[in-house]
Amino acid sequence: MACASSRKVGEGTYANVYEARMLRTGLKVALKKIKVSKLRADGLDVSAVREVKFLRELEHPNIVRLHDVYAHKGNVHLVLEFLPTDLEAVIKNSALTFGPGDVKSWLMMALRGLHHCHRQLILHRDLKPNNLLLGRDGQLKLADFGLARDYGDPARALSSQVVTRWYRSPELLLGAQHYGPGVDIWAMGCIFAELLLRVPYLAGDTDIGQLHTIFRALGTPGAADWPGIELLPDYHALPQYPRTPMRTLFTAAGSETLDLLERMLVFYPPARISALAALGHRYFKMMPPPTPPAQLPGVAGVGGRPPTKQVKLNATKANPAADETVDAKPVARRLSFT
Amino acid sequence: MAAGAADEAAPPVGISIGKLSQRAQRREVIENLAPPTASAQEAAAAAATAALAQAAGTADTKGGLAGASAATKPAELQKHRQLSEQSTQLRHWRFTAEQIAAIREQANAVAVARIKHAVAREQALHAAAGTTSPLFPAPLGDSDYITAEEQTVLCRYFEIMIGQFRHILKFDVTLQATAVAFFRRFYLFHSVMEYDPKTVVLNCTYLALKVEDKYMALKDFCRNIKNAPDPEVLLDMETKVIQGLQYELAVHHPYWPLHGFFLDMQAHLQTTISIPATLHAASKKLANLYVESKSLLQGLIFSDAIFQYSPAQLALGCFVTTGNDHGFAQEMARYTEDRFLHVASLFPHGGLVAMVERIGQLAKAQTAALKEDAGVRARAAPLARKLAKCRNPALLPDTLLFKQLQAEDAERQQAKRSDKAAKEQAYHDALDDVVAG
Ligand SMILES: Nc1ncnc2c1ncn2[C@@H]1O[C@H](COP(=O)(O)OP(=O)(O)OP(=O)(O)O)[C@@H](O)[C@H]1O
Ligand SMILES: [Mg+2]
Repeated sequence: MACASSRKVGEGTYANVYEARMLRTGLKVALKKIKVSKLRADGLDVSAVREVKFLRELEHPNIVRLHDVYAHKGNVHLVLEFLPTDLEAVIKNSALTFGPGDVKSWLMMALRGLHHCHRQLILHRDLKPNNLLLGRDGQLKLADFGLARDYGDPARALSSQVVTRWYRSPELLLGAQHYGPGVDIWAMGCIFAELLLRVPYLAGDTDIGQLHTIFRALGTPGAADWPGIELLPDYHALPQYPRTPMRTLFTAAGSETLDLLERMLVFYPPARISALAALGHRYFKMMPPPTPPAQLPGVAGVGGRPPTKQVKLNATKANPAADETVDAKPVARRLSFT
Repeated sequence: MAAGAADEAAPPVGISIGKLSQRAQRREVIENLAPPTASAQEAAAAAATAALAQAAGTADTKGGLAGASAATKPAELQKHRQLSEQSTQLRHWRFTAEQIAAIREQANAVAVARIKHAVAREQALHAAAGTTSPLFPAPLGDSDYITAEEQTVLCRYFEIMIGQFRHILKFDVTLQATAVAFFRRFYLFHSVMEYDPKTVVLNCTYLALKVEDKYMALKDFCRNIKNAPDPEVLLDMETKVIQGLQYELAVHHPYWPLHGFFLDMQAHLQTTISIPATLHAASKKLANLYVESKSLLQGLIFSDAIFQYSPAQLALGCFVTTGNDHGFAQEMARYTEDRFLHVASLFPHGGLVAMVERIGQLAKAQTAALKEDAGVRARAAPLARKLAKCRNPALLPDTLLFKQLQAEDAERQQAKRSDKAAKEQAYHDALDDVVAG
């Protein structure tokens, strides 16, 4: 066996994650053990297949590194670099204060990782603070590629049942089956806003309610804002809301900050800013500069995530293959001798 | 943008990613066009060693499948390959014809050696029990084993079968190409004498359905396929197949780059032809050529070309060849010169023209071969009979050796468990001492 695992650090929909050590090198890693369904009716979980497929191809400082994959007792194990905390834990930790340079630094790292995915024509499709992991050195890394897929083949329809609700873009909520990197940019915009507000920005309580929540914040798009909106499969008479100026909610944010945020949350998907263009936005050139990762709040143990997940995010995850809800059962610490 | 086949497939307006994906396709074309750098002997040796290690079942799953990436390349090449360099397909699954042959021979030799040993054990077990092995009444002679060459003939039959699955399960050519690539990759390093192609072909197809997001329940999959084995059989094999594929599941095909070339060439025509009527005719012709070259590609998917060339090279080869054969040679030449002359250093061994020629010939031969389906079956049948007599008894559930190995394994597990229990007990004892103390 390549790894000796010790402590369970997280539980996802299709895997348990343990802190572990590589036997050969002694390197601390995260061991993601794919759950075998009780019936194991269909073999290896399709989310695991996706994650392995894409992480094998992606190598970037802002994408979680897949050191190895191996099978043990018919079960597939992913050996990932170990990342002690995530952005959700840091946002929720009220003991930490964020400066504008901190937010800029996190967003920049996230966009760099995302640009790397997009230029290889890969969509992440499940961006949320909980899936942006943070290393001991402060580096932010995109993780959890269980919903990722290739895009760009116009002949192939894509599922609109992706992305956790609060981060789901309007075209997905309207049932679009042909979409692109815009869905990830939208999610990233929501994360950007959440970093500024310290609470989820567009927290709808149902799938239908999500669209209302979005329109209430950003105004209902008219035909000019979104040519062809009425052609989307789930299009219906939209509730009409006026646009609230961003300034009223984001009181402390500078104009460049809001300009970038608005460009990430543009309704019409093709007009939404790309990851590359976002990285070139004035926001990143203005003062203050992005905080060096090692100096970010929550780095080196401060504000790490609790050992077991206490609260599961309210928004249900929209993975059609993963409808079982994981509630936070306290995990009995078991002795492990391997 | 001129009308053509591309527009038919375009998504509804308003959510169009058309522009973006076109740009992406064109970019993919340019960036992935670099041919393999043949660091022949060196990489062949590395690959053969890796084959040996893998076939021998050692733990080193990643192996040193060094492919073509070892050689030093000029800076320009580096730049152009930056992106594609990362793909596991380019790093681990590109080989020259010589390398392919060497790997196959190695894998075969290793399997034969292992089977010889296993057959001897099986016969010894029978002798000890006072019986004779029904499967192996006598030792196998050297000519009783499936050779590397015979394996490719036999495998061909199963690859063609994937095409039939495509019609039954209604998946697209890309998914088919992924399934075929999995199957070819797997049997490059494994022997049919040890892994039953009847099962593996289904595993590869089912895995491709998962990988290409056309997931279906395994029982539905099996129900749709005639003579499919029990789902349990497929489940037992799945992990082995994924492992045999080095957990590298992203496969790139020429279809997409072909579409990219088509779009790029349409754009190019617009810059070179100014008379509207002429442009219209040329665009229409181009659209036909695109469809035509797609079917020319089809044969390559089932050949070693997928290991020897990048998807973009195969696409360009087929596209230009089709053009040359249909009175579009001049336009093709102008296009390739305008677009690729500045990266001429990317094309050693006689340049782009020679490469196109090689691919074109290969494609024609392969596409013709695809048509003689009956021949494939006739050639495979005697080999299937031969195969039934030389399979590794260690992997056949009915043999004494299989049972023996299972018993040995269970024993080892038991020993491990009791060792663990003892450790746990010792821990609890120590804990009790602490608590008591
Ligand atoms: N590389 C890592 N280092 C440390 N902890 C990790 C790592 N990867 C995942 N975890 C922990 O395990 C949890 C689940 O991981 P992950 O999100 O990858 O699984 P998942 O099954 O896709 O979850 P979900 O789909 O519910 O978000 C994470 O929330 C995190 O707490
Ligand atoms: Mg997660």
